[in-house]
Amino acid sequence: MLAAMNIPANDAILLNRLRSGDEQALDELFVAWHGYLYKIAYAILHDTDAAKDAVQDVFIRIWQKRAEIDITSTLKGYLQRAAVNQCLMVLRRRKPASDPDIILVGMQDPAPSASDRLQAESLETLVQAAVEQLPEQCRLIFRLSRFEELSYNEIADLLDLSPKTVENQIGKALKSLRRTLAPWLAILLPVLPTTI
Amino acid sequence: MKEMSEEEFARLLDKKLREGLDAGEAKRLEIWLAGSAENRQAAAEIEAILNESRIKAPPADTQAELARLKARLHAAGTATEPQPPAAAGRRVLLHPFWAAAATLALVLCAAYFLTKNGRVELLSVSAPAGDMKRVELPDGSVATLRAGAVIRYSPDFRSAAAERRVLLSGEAFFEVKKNPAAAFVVEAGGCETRVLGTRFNVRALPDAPVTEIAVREGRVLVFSRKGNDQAILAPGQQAVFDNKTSGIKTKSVDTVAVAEWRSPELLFRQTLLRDVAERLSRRFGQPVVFENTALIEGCRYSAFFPEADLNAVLKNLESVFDLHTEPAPGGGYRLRGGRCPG
Repeated sequence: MLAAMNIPANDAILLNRLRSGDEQALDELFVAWHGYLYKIAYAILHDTDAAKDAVQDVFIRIWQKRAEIDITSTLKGYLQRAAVNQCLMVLRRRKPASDPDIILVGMQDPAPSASDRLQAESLETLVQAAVEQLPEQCRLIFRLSRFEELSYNEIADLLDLSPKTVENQIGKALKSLRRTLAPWLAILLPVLPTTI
Repeated sequence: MKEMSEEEFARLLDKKLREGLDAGEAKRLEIWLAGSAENRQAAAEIEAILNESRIKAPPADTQAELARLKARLHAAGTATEPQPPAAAGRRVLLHPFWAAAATLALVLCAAYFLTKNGRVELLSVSAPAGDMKRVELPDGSVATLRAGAVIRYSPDFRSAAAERRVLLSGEAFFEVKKNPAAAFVVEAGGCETRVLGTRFNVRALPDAPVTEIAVREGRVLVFSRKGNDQAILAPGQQAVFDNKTSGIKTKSVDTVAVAEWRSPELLFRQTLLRDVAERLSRRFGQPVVFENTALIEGCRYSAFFPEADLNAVLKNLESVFDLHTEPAPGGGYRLRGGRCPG
């Protein structure tokens, strides 16, 4: 309801109720924004449980800090920034364990039936694996851009970058993905006629 | 201004799909696309990547998550100290390091390819006349060479990051270990066959007018080295590459007939006599011709020979189709007369 109308006056009323300790207001806020924030978190973390936890943590913090919440822009802007910051913190903690090679190594499966699976292997799986191998910041920006509800400007804003940097990183990501996937694309994509 | 970097057109394609282009950008993209078929192919690839990389979050149950939130809040109580806020500055310290590490990796790869492309002595394996040979390649793929066939490959075959390339003369059946990061390429005749993990046969006899590629499993891409033609083959399809014109034609082939030379058996399942003739000619290396053209397009043959033997097959064909066999003047056999049984 709230998300659909997104009227600042309503946001202000809701925030006032929240500040005064109205737990019902927290529920309303959660129901209105959970889906959207979960998708952003999933875009960044690429893990369902981690994304759910991140969104939970955002709302727990909002509740704990309810008295100090001061929103200068919009409620949406505030919430998505909180979600992105939370996810970045999760990523930082996760870093030592993450090895960008894991996924493609895992796909070089020497099992005898490997060839049987070639056709079942969807381009989507391969693309996702290749995205995993992008340098960290490039991957983050690219993922957020593929969550199609955020504009370049919004992504730039969320990450404290210039829109130009965001655009450049997306270009870099696509170029790199095309290199990595070249042998697959040659096989899986229909080849265009050489003359038109 | 016609030159546009790959990064720039990729970005424009993304922007076009997301929020639309302004008139200037649209014009630039249009000019670039009209520039060459290669550009259009690149655009199709980028668009496929954009489509397949869309974030599709598995659904999350908001009500269940709300219940979990409330449970956590009440269990923790409001006294729990929240974690300190993330310091914005810390992130900035880490990113340049990872960016630098990534750049270094790219530079190393580039240096590696340069040495790789220098002239390297190739390893060569051949099958003796009259016998086949099984060759295990360094990446675990297996090539079965038919008598007289030769393959050559680079000593750094396995570690080559971008592709695994073998040169073939003669006929061989390949069982390729899947590796999405490195395509397996067979160079033979004037064409290349590119796969990632599949089973297929390449027949590139010296002095033959055509090179044939047939697929048993998976998909392969065949293209002429001149770049004028290409085809994607699925199981049961065969490409016939014309070594003179570099044109590629495709036709269907029974998967049991793909590289049947590897096994002593010979199996026909409702096979058109036209295809029987072709398979026999190929298998025994001498032409087997039915003179009755109505017969070869209309009759089918089913038979199994545990030990392929041309005389036994010809004898069986004679009795089933009421044929007369005689040696052809230039070698091979001619089968005359005949009618479909029943």
